[in-house]
Amino acid sequence: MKPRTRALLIPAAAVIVSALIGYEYLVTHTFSARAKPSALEAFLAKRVRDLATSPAVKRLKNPLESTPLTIAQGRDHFADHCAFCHGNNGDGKTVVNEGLYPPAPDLRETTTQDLSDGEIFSIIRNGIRFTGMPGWDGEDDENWKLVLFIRHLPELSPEELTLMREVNGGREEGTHNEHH
Amino acid sequence: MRPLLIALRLLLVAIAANAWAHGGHAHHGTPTEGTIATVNGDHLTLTTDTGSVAVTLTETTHIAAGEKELDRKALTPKSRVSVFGTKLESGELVAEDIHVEGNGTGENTTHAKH
Repeated sequence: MKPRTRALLIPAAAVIVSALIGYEYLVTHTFSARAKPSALEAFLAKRVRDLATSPAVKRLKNPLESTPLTIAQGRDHFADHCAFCHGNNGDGKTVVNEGLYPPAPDLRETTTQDLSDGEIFSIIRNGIRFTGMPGWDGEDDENWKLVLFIRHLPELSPEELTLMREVNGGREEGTHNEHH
Repeated sequence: MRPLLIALRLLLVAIAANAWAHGGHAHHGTPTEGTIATVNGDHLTLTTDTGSVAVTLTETTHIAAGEKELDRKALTPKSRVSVFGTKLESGELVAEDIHVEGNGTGENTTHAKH
């Protein structure tokens, strides 16, 4: 076999084998949203999102001061619009989130807390393609207050959780924690 | 057929997300209702069914009686009000909207006996 033919055959074989593995994966795993993304898929998705976020957005700083009032306003907004999927405490243990592919992460963990203010703001405003996270658009002030509250989530107190339940009533009762 | 179903589902998700989208309105929950006990500058004390509540007014607090816009002078002791706003962890309520029952002159027409 000529070296040139071999050089063409090897990549072609690799493509065919990859396609067969991909087909087999799809057939055996179906297209269910109840599956969990593999570590490789999660890694690649994060890298793609990272590449798609401009440095200017990453450098954005929250223009609002973190005060009891601005955090509380973000808290009420979160309870009203976000907790249905993310849970009041941000852990993501809700009926909706468990059926999402990929599921939203625990917002208290480093996967979210290590993002810059600008990245969190951009995710709230623009959403993330191919996930359940919609782009809410919204007013900048409201979105920045949400960023303040998301930063505050790891320190959320029982009193604040009670206040959130006053805002969203039974909506957060969809969490598995409260069902079982 | 399957791509059509997927497209239809995506459309439904988009409609649902749009229905949840909103402008700059506050996220109130239920109002705190009570009678003004004291007025001290930007601070009110409300007597409610569950106890006393400290209310703070801000520059943007909106006060009205029905369709009628009011100023802070309408907030007098014994007026019955519904306060929408943000509760702080301390229990203080920062008012965004205050609805004064009656005509805003301190006369409570809502509960008037006939």
